[in-house]
Amino acid sequence: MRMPEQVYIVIPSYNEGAVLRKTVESVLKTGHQVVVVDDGSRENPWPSLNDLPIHFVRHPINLGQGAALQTGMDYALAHGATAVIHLDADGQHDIEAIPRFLEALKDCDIVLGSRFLQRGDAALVPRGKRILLTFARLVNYVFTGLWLTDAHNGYRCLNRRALESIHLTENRMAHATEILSLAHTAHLRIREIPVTIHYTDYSRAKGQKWYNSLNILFDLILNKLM
Amino acid sequence: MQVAIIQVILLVLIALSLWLSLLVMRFQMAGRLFFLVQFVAGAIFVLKPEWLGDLAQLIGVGRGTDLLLYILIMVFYITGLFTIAKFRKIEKTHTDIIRAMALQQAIDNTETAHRR
Repeated sequence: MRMPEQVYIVIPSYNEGAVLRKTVESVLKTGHQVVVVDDGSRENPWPSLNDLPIHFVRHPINLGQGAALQTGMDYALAHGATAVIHLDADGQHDIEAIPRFLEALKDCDIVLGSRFLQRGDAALVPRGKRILLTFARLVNYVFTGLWLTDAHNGYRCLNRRALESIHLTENRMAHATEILSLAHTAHLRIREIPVTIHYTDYSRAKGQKWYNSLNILFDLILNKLM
Repeated sequence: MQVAIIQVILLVLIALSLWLSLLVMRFQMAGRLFFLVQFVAGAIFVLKPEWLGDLAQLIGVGRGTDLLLYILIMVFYITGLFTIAKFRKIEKTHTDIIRAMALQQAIDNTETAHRR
């Protein structure tokens, strides 16, 4: 018997404020389950969400985005999810892409969003970020053996098999490479689909600073060593 | 034998740290032995600095001071790596505890809230 599709959309959030509710509301329109994982924000966002039909998990202290995603995946797995989608809270991920993710998941285990499969999407990425991402792709290749068109794109989709074989131990941003590495070791089938990322002033301000990529690299090397 | 002031100071410090390490390692025989050997060696070289020079010569290092520097650098690096490894282990445990707490207190609002 085939289980009915149970898609859980995991939204990690850290000090997001009003934009979180906006994102959650638009995601709810897809009809899928929504799990908000608050990563120990200064202010608990639950009071501003408690009228929405969502699942809410909160880390009592801040651990990092990788940890928040893993908590969300643990929750989804325990509730019988057949697929999980990672989505940023800041609204830069296009909700319209969700059906395409699920469609692509039919013949693979992990679907990754890429900003570089379509000319128009790539043009939206700021130039400095593009240079940094080329470097990040190279790092990914060195650590995972996968040559992808994008790196550190937080928009991705995993099926149950992937959820069961992936357990993130990188609490901070190095999780993006760790996912690939674990997927590669577990012989999961990976596919990329084009996604549009809407860079807003908010997401730009909230986004990663370039020097944090050095921290990510350091975390990755340590992870390989011990 | 004439004893310099620095030798007295070093010996007192060595004795103090030996006492501390034996206290900390109360239930780890191997650890206690490790520190004991180190501190005894330390005390010997404080009292007989020229022996360190002889040892350095023996293994192909010019001066005792250089030998000490090389050992110090290696110990520094190894200690650093062990500390990082230990730190990462603690971080993992800490994450597991926080995650377990968070999942225990998770709120499922899908039934309570009105679906629009």
